Amino acid sequence: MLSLLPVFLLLLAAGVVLTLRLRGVNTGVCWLVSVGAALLVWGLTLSLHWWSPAPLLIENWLPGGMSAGSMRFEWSRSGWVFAFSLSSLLLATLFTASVRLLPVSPVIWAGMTAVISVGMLAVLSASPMALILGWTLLDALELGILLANLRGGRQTVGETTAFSVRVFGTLLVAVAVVIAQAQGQPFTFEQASTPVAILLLLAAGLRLGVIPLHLPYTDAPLRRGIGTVLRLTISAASLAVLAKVAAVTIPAEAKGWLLAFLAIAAVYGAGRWFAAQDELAGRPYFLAVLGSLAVAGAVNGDPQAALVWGSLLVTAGGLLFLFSIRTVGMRLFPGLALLALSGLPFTPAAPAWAGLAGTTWDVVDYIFIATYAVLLAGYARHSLRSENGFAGQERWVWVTYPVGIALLTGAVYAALYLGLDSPWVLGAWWISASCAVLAVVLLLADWRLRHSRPETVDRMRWAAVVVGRVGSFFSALLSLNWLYRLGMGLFGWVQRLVRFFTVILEGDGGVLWTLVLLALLASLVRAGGGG
Amino acid sequence: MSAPLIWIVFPVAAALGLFFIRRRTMLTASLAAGLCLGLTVLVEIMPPGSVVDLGVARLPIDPVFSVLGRRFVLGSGDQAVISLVYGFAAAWFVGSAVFGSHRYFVPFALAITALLVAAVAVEPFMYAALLVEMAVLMSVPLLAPPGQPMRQGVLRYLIFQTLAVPCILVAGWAASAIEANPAQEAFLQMAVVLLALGLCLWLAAFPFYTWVPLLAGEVNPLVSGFILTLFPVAALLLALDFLNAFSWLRLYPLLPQTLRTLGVLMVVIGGVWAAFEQNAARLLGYGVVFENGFALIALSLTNQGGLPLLAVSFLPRMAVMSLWSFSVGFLWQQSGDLRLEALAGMLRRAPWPSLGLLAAVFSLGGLPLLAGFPVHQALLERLGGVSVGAAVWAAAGSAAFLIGGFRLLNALVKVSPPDSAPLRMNWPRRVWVAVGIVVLLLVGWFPGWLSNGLIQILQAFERLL
Repeated sequence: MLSLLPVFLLLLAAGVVLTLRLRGVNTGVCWLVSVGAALLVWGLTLSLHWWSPAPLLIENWLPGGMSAGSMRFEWSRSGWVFAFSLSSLLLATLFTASVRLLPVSPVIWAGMTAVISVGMLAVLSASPMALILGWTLLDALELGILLANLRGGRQTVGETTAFSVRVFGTLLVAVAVVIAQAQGQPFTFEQASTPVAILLLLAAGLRLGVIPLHLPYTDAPLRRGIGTVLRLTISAASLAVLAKVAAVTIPAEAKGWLLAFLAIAAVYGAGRWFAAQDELAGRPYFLAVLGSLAVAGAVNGDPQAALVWGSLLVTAGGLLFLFSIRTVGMRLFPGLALLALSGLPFTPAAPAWAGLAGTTWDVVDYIFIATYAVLLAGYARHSLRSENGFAGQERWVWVTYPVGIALLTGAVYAALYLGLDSPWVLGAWWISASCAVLAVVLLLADWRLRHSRPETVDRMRWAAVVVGRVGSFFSALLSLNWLYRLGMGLFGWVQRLVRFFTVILEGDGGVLWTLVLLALLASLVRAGGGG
Repeated sequence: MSAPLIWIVFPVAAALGLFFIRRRTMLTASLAAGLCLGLTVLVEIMPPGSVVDLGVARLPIDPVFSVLGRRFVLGSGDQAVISLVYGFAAAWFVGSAVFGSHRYFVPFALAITALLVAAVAVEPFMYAALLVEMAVLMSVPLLAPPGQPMRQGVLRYLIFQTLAVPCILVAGWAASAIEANPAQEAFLQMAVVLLALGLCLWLAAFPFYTWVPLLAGEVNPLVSGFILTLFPVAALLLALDFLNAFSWLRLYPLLPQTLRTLGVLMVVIGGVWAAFEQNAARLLGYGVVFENGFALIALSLTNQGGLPLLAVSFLPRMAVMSLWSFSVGFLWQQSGDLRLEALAGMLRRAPWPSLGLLAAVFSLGGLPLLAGFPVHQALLERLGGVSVGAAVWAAAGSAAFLIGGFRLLNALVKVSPPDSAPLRMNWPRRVWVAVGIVVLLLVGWFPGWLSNGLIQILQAFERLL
């Protein structure tokens, strides 16, 4: 049970905060309790890097004693990286909570604490049943929080649709268990066969929010704080499984298709991320790009890449999404995070290049590298955007806010430097250097465009129109929402067919049709039985 | 004192008594609930076949009761079956007291419960068909109360359930002929085919399932839910009884494959049709078809440990159906329209029944964390061991059923029409729905805890163990 101590502590804290709120205790006390618990769990998680408790095993959880029916939670290397990243995100979110838009709600803090707690449960899962339950619990919690905060309309329906797609991702793991069982193998992440590993990749991919693409939150309470926690935790929980699956050989044909699909998602996501109005509007695209890179790493047979991108998604991503007070001094922190993301030699992302570029060079690799440069440029662009300073904030916020941001910046480095076996690597320095140069060029070009003289802008208006139209076309094509709409169109067609059969079978001649079907079935059974 | 007198005759007599005070619906529901609860407790403290020490005398509970040369046998192995059936009936009658029901519901439902227990107990087995038919006829006043027209779903239900009677009776005759002359292949085939046909009619197997969604869509969900829960469970218990009684049936080579094919077909049909269904009550009907499919898959996996899973599945099935029926029943009583468009925004207008409905639908569809998942997953794993293709089809059927659930969820979270008022639910009803949701969560989270007790149901079928 010791291995789930951080999870239980956070759940307990969430319960205590909710109870305090219901009893009318003031907001400051609730905040102190939340921060205290988050700090305790953060320290505990950090210490678990050096001291690993025994795994928690619940055998024969499913009725009937199936081997795949056991639940196991353990502090593996990848589990620790994700758990530490998540606990750092929680602590930073709580430290920076005081500067966000009113109303400040302890209920939201309790929700965040519960989400991180369940997220930790999911990333610590070491058996398929544990993963299925962790993912589902996280999805249900997210849905509950969103439904409680959204007031109906398009966004609510979008969230329920995203929930359903994630559930199907989870069910793919259940199908993988069935297939592993049929193959007579015990299903462990480390020994997954190729079909099982492909199903796990698809499961993680479906849960990343690419199809249908997550909609940006528009409701104020959901935008920065809990919105960040929800989005990042779900992505981290999905990517954690990829870091656990041992390197598998995916058939070349399937690999080509998977990489092409991921490249499309990454290109679209990077473009939208760079062009987004602000980092919160671009958040779904940032997640889509890093998620695609992580899955691509796993497809290329490098689970470490999934671990690196997943951790950076939570820490570096979380940092930018919480970054709302932008003084000159404070800009140092996203700068450091950007350096970590750059993949330059000896930075935390450097070990991930091997997974991105694969073993052989082809066009998809160049696309990924260009995409990554756009991602870096977007990160820099959104970090440099001007917003409020500390003016008007209470004095204690001047302390807590920088502490939260600094802590998350430290976590960007600590999670990977401590968590990886060989973090200090040169990596593919020529790729990272090219990426960095490309990102700088892009950033400068963007700056130049935005600061052009009015007459130049007028002269180039036709070009803007052409670029806009071409961009819209490719945006529609690459968004993959057409795939989703195609699926919905197919659904409508089958729906009409099913209704037609329903009318026939339930109409006046239904009993006769039943007898006809019975005769048909009998003849089929006879034919099948050789009679 | 004989056990059938306590658990069959006495409840029938009580149902007759309740009929005379039927207009006091709250009182009859409470009395019936108390009686069923008492019978459930009684079977635990003085099981059939035991001797009860009353202090002044010792009271043997004789398992056999003979009438007109027929025997009703409730042995010690039937203890769990009696607990399950009367426990379920008790819960349903409590729900009826809380949610309100038609004046005929309680007396007839109690009589139906007792008759179905009698069908499981009667020997020779062919008389079970007559007792089930009596129960079917008893259900007519519930499905079409006086003053209301007999609808197509009810008629079709009567037709298909009645068609099962001659099949079972002739199968019984063929079975006795086999015992007299085991070498007669023709009798064997006739018995198997007719028995299978009879069971298919009872279980609304493909292609006899069309009455189920029709009935669910036409009748008060509180009534249809009761019928659609208890009858399939009784039919499955009778199927186990037949398998237990006849070795020629158990060993018939085509049986597992046929049951498996039928089961997968029903899971797929129930799932796909549910995915496109526009009415929450009819969705319940497809849910029954879907769940019956899984039950047939479990029956087909006798040698792979499917029967314990079938036994374990009874509790989630009953809990799901109760929650679904009462939640939908409340919405039906309040708005009268259960089409998905009419349910738009209901999660905010009536959160409790909406949550109950969602929990039930997702549980039946096998969403992890809810009661249906552990049994479905374990069954799919075993099915995968026999046929990967069948397992994948069944999984696809489950996914399709969940699509129906997601469509319902999408409808419930939409923005309500501007003129819609909240639908108030009183505290007892909220508690009832909350208890239902908690039960589904508990069974979903700790499936192992309950499975040991439920597997005791198989004690009644010792040759299958």
